[in-house]
Amino acid sequence: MNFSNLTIQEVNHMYKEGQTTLNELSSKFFDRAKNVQDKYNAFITLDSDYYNNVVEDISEELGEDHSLAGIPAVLGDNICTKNLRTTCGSKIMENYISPFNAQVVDKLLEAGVIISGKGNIDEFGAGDSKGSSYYGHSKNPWNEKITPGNGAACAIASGTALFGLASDASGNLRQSAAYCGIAGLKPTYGRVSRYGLIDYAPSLDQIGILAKNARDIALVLACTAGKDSRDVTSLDNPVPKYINEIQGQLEGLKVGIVKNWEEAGSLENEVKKSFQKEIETLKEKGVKIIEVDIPSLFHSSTVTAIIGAVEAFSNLANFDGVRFGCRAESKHLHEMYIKTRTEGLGTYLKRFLTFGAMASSEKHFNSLFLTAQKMRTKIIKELQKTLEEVDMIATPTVPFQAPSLESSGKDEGITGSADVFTSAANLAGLPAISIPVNIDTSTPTGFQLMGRTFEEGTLLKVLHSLEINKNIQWPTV
Amino acid sequence: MKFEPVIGLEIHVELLTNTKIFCGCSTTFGAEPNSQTCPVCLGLPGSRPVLNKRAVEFAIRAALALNCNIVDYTTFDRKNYFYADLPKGYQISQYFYPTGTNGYVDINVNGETKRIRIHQLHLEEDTGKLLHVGDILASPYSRVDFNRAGVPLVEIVTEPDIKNSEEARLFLQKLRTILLYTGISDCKMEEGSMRCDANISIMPKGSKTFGNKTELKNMNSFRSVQRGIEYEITRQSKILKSNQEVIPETRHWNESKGSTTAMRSKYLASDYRCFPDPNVIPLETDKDWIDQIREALPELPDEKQARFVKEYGLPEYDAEVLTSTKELADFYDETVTLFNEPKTVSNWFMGELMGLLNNEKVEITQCKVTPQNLANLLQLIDKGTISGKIAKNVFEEMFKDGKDPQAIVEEKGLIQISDTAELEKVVEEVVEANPGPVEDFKGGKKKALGFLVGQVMKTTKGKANPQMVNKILGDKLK
Repeated sequence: MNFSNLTIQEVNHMYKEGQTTLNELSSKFFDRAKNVQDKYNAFITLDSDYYNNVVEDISEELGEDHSLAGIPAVLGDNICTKNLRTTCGSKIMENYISPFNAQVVDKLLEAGVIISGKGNIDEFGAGDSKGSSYYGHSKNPWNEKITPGNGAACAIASGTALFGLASDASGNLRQSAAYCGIAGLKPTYGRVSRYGLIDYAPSLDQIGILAKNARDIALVLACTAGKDSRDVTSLDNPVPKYINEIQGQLEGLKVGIVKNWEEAGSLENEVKKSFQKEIETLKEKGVKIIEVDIPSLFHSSTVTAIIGAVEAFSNLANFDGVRFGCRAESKHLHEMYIKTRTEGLGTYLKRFLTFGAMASSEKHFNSLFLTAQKMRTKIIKELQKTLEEVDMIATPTVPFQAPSLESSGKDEGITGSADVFTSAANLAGLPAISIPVNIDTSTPTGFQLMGRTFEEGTLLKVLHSLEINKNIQWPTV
Repeated sequence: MKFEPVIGLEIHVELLTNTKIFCGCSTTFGAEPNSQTCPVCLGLPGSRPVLNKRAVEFAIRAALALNCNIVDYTTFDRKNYFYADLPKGYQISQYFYPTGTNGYVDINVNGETKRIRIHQLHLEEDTGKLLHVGDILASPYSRVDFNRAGVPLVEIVTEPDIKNSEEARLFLQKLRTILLYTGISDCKMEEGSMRCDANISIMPKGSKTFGNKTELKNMNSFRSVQRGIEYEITRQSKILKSNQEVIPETRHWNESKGSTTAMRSKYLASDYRCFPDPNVIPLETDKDWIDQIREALPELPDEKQARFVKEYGLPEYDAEVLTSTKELADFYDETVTLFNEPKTVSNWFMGELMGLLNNEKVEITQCKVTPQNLANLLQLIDKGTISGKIAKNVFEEMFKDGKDPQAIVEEKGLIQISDTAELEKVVEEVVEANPGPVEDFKGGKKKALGFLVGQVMKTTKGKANPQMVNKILGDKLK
């Protein structure tokens, strides 16, 4: 079995033709996951009992077209699973087992998906793929010396899962996709229920999808999208048949390029070249490229950091040892809080939360938090105006190639330098996709498209069109 | 130096919704600890609040009843602080846009109407409750009961319009009456569904500058509010008289000791870092909805009192007493419809009915007497079937077992004797048996007549029609 190249469509075909069985496929994938785990540390939790139970419970017909039954998937470890711990990449949640499944988990299990394990994440999903997990760095299957972003992307690129769900609060999911040479979609805010996502910044966070191609993302999005009465920010816009929307020509599509995109901090030449190459391809396909002006775009990562830190400071306040998670022993309540949080939370996160406490304090509320909120409104307006003119906005996903493991996590700043292009979509709640480019070299990178709300289908169509001619040699494990 | 107290109250009132403000858990009081909880009200990671529409409706209803302006756009904001009874690490409250602002409550102070302005009314969630063994400092552990966490509350904040403890009590009673009328809360101070904190300061009489204030907590009855405020005014006066400064702080009322102790300084005031909760979307309150709630409001105590004076010609005092609860007022209204002599009915209410209710500690809602039966009783008196005196006995029977007065009267043979011949016969006997008093009367001692009437009543076991007895006796002894 060639794990690396498999897609959902191909697995369905194999099931249908009797080329494999659920037992065979699931056990081979689990074995591979264990091997990959030893090598790349993609997972925080791989539990064979849980895995076997999930497989046993699958009652759906296998091999149907567009079915997710019997398809192995990985979840970011801030998505709650009953009977399988959810650590948020943090020591403080080391043994936490949620009494309920996230809405997306229920949906996947109903569809017969094999949840293979919980992928490594930055602690509480905060930051720009810094590798701040208590459970250690994951390694990139393309190059063990560089970061893969999150563990889910690593698991997919290394062929242990066909797709993954992970959170995206400032771009982490799309950055991980770019680093691992796969595709990553952050849907419109409210498209997918966040019930059961342990997010850190509820106004920014969205559960997104990682997979190798547009067809797979389309199937997973159709399965997970929709209104959920338990998450009032989820919206009840109809869920289209995304699989039909990805077909078709790109001719006539208008794509905006930000006027001063080349001035983005730490933009690497490699990234610049591959972005321009992709733009050329789009032109060849009849896409109209239009220069657009989004003056405040480059403020979005700072604004995201301020708002994210304030929300996180509040959202993570109850990780205090009182009702769940680790608790440091102490005779006094406040001492217990301080000890628990000092021991249970990582250095980067503590710095981030402290910054959030400061940015929302009476003294700095107006100059930092309120200013950031006003700036957010400004950015939203600029994006909305631009998207009246063009169908989508193109930028590189990350201005640089995947950083080395040595350098990642050493960043002392609060603002994520990888978030320059990605975080605007989180501020505005817009859907954005990272399309893999440069996957013929061993340092993949990403091409990002940000679209209008609820137009995920159009983004997937571009991805589909761009991937058709690419013949990828996935890294061997 | 004479001092003038300045008092503002903050009242928390639990709403009578069936379920909590952000989840479907029951709000019933007194259940097994932590039996009414779920991931949402326990603040478990990944859970999300879903706003209870009823709680918003109740808050609007209360705000309308307190003559507030209703906000048309509101957010639910996080008030961030650390405490073990706070499951999310923040309390969701309306910090930026309270449901109601600029309202008022009129109270009656020695016959004068005084207006206490309401600064605001906002909706929020209650916290859990810490349980200790004995004293909090001596307890070996703290336990937390989250049944109360997420119960919807409204907090009502007055302007500093209250001048003394008596006004504070009158205000609280009036507020409670109004809220009970609206049905949004059961306002039980002893169960904590109504809680009152008081901000108290004093300043030299005539001064325009407020003194340092203290916030007084833990007052669990109207009486302790009154006592606590009095204690605090005295304490502060002593401090100022000795040329010291009142420390702005939160103080704890100790009911058994009858004194207050310092809890925490206001110099170290918490910074709550309030901001709108991204998980609870902003709410636009629809004008039509507010109008519907307004129209559905019951007639409130002040309106009812005015109507009782105008429509029924009752004295202010009667009207105030009769409207002190909605149930009593409804009972009265219904009785008057059946027996249209408002003052007579009022006398019976204020005398017999309320007397028995108080003595027997029975609520009007549990009273066995129905408006219909009371009206029947009054009709029996009116027709002369029974005397007023007998009626009181009949009423006691009715109160005990809820029987119809006619049945009691018949069963016990209590019908009034209004037959002239029969009464003349009794009068004859009495006159014969009491020559002394008869002589006294004839000799000019008018008082003796009363004795003779009494003898007639005694002989007839109180059934003789007293007016007729008076007349017959008078004629006879002329």
